[in-house]
Amino acid sequence: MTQYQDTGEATQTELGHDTVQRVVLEMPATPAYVALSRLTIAALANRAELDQEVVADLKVAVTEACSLFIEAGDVPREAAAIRVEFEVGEDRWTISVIGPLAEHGLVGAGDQAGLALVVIQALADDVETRTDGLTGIIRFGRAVR
Amino acid sequence: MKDTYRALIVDDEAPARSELRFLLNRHARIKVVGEASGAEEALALAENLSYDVVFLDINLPDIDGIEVAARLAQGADNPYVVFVTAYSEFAVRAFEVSAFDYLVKPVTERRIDQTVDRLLSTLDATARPTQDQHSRLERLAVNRSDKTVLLALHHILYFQAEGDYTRVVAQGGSYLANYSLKSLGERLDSKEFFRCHRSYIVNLSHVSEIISLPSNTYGLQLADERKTVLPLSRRQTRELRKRLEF
Repeated sequence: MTQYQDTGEATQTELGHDTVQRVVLEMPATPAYVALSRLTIAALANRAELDQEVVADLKVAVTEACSLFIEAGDVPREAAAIRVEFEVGEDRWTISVIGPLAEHGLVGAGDQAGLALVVIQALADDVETRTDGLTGIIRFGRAVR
Repeated sequence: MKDTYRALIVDDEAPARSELRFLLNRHARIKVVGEASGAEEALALAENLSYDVVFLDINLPDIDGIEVAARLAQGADNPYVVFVTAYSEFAVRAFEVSAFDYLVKPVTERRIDQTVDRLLSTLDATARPTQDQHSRLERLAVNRSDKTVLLALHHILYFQAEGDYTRVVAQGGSYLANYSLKSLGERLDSKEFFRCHRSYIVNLSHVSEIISLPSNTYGLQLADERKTVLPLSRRQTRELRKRLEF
């Protein structure tokens, strides 16, 4: 039984002068797996020798984003998945968290969702939220140097 | 009882240390003061740092973690030891060296929360008051015109740095105090007062909202008549999240 899936999508693209590595993680939308998103950040950050404060900010933000989808999704937990895409540049990281939504969307999920977004927005340089049917996307970027 | 207790993390895998640090940092009263990737490094760190608890991996590359625990127990700090390992078969040996707890990886949030809650209860029951607590402020003396006013702390809305002095803004007026913001901060109860920005300490009981400000920044709005807004620095957002437990 596959409980989580590293899709193996690690690609490299050029954005301006910055080489961006793309790493994708797909996992069940249950609390037990949120740690995987943090461990991925830790492993990537270790390679990039990032400052611990930046790493801590990114981990809090990704945890909040994953938790929002776990709280918001109406679909059965076992069937739902969260996809986390890391775009890792020399100077800037962008993380997209894609997951299931309830019918009322992301922000409508209550005060807890509002506070979680406040935390993400405070820790990131820019945040974008989008919905596509019953799928939501939280994408945030952060300068890491 | 202390406001915070100091922790060391010993694990040879950097991501494991990082995750444990994240899980512990969710607890406002636990401060991770050091990390080591091996036994020798841990023993050297323990000699140079004061700490209350060590979260210790058993499978270390140089010396067995249980042996490390036995050596740490002989030191001046005699810390509580929480073993964190991928294997359950060492549990009996671990408790023979007086382990406080034994966590099997992957450590869940709920499991670490249980350990920390129990740890804090035990530490609170045994720790002696710190010097900080003896000198903690209960009322603040400030000068106004030709008299000295004693302000009750719960009337104070916030403190603002003004060079080497501090502006004290309270219900009913503002005063200049002859202390630096840093020295004041050290004598305030960290459960009530929060350093939201390098120039401000706010009384959390007077905060009514967290509001969005231009340039993707946030502020703390107070419940006073003027609806004062104080800046919230990015660095302190994580800390505030812990403090408010939202």
